[in-house]
Amino acid sequence: MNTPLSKKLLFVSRKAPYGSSMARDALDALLAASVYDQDLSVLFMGDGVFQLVKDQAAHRAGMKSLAASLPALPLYDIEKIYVQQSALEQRGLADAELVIPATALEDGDITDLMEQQEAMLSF
Amino acid sequence: MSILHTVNKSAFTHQTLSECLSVCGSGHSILFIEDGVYGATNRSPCRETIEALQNLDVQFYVLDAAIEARGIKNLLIQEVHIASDEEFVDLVVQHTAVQSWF
Amino acid sequence: MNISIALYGAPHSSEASESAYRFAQACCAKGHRVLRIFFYHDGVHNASALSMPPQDETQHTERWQALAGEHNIDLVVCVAAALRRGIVDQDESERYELPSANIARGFEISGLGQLLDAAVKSDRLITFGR
Repeated sequence: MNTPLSKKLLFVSRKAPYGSSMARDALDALLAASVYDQDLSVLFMGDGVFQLVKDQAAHRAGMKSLAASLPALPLYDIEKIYVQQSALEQRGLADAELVIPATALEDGDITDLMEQQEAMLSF
Repeated sequence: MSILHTVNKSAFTHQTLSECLSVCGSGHSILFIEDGVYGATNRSPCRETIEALQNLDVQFYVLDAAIEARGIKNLLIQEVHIASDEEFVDLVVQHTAVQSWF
Repeated sequence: MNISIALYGAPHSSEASESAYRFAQACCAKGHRVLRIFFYHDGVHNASALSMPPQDETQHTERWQALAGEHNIDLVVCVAAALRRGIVDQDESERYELPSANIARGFEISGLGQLLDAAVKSDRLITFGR
């Protein structure tokens, strides 16, 4: 799967869904990246954690559902999916069931995660 | 392994800088660009956190063109370094990766 | 070093284009190689051949063309983001039977994978968002 030459690349997704297209653009970039056989991770932080809320009726905003696309990530071999614990708590989502399983990280763990990367793709 | 963070939003209107500071580690650097430079001024809502991180080996920079365009050189927090475009490039090269906050 | 840049802001609407251009120029001045500028999200508007800012304002598209020409930089525009925003080359215009094409010379429309490709091939990737 990962060749010795594959790079550690972290997608950082910080925007809420629908109010701007940035969340969707981040996800599309992540899915496009999956064919390049690199060591990919994705981190949802800040308002980006709202992308993981269940039961999004995106059509009511005239959009395609982001939440419906997220369960595809493991099918694209993207398994390192992280979410910022403090952002969940701040937004009342700490006990919520998320639309995909994600590893919750404390802020110090996020620092460590970023330091392990060879590049960040910031959204 | 140290990160260069760039911040382009004013700390007076956005949480962007605050979010950046919460994951900034020792040895990292933060470069304020565009409206982000307002977050490096004396009355910045994040001033205390900035000063605390300065004591933890985090370096703070503002882009010279951004502060000159805005006329705020005399409002900057102490020990925030003023960087040229070429020094911006040096910072990118010296750190292992860049996280852009916008 | 090899450096690539991702640009998500439209010219004039935000400072992102200006920041990215100055950074790219400084990379070249310091002897680094700028491999690719990847225009995504609203950044695709940098590639329009139809923008006509007043003469005393920055001619963003022209100066990207000049910088890329001088330093052999790939200017790559994401096809999906471009189509949504009406930035099309001749091929896309014909494919979708659109009234015209408007992409500026020197910019190439390509897939979103070119962003990841830039990250893989470069020593550093930096994003300028709006």
